[in-house]
Amino acid sequence: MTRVRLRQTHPNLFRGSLAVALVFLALGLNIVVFKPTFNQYGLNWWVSGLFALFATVQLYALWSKRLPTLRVSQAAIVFIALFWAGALTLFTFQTHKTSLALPICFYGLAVWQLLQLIEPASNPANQVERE
Amino acid sequence: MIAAVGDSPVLLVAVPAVLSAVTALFTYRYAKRKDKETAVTTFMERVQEDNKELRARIVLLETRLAAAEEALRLVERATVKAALLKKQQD
Repeated sequence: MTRVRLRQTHPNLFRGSLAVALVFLALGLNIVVFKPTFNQYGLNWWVSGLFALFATVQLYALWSKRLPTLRVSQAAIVFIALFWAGALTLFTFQTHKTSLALPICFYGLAVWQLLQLIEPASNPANQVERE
Repeated sequence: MIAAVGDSPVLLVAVPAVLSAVTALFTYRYAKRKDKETAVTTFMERVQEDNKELRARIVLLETRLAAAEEALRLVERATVKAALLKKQQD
């Protein structure tokens, strides 16, 4: 397995992924953010739990320098954040009870994670460490 | 259309799920391909660097070998000369 020393070789990706992971971990652990929104099929718990889970996986991937694991966790968080933002948008349009501020926040977070996902992990100047 | 989707709880969950899954999947595949390409480029650059170092080392060793051969030839010539001188003296 190839391990990439992101911290030394690509600090932008490392810092960005770390920040996103911490934000999503905090969001996942903070059910209060999800409480005022709709809870069809217990989605509040599912979404917050999956955010916390994949944010933890992302932190683990950064710590253990596993690039494939990092990419999978980033894609999973993009999926959940976009899904939640989309569901909240539709819910807002349906009920007109909540504002669009929360879905827009989630769209922003999803795009932030998406930018980390498409950020290249290495360039020719970088070094790759082999196990 | 949005109202129609919003009215059905299943569609309310299914539509964003499908759209976000497609987005995440395509982005993931793009990122994976990019990572592979950059890893190959990095590897090729390292191979070329190693190749350059090895070539420089080969040139150095060839120079040393030529110098050693020259020195050996001089020693052999000196040995022959010494043997001839000894024969003349005898």
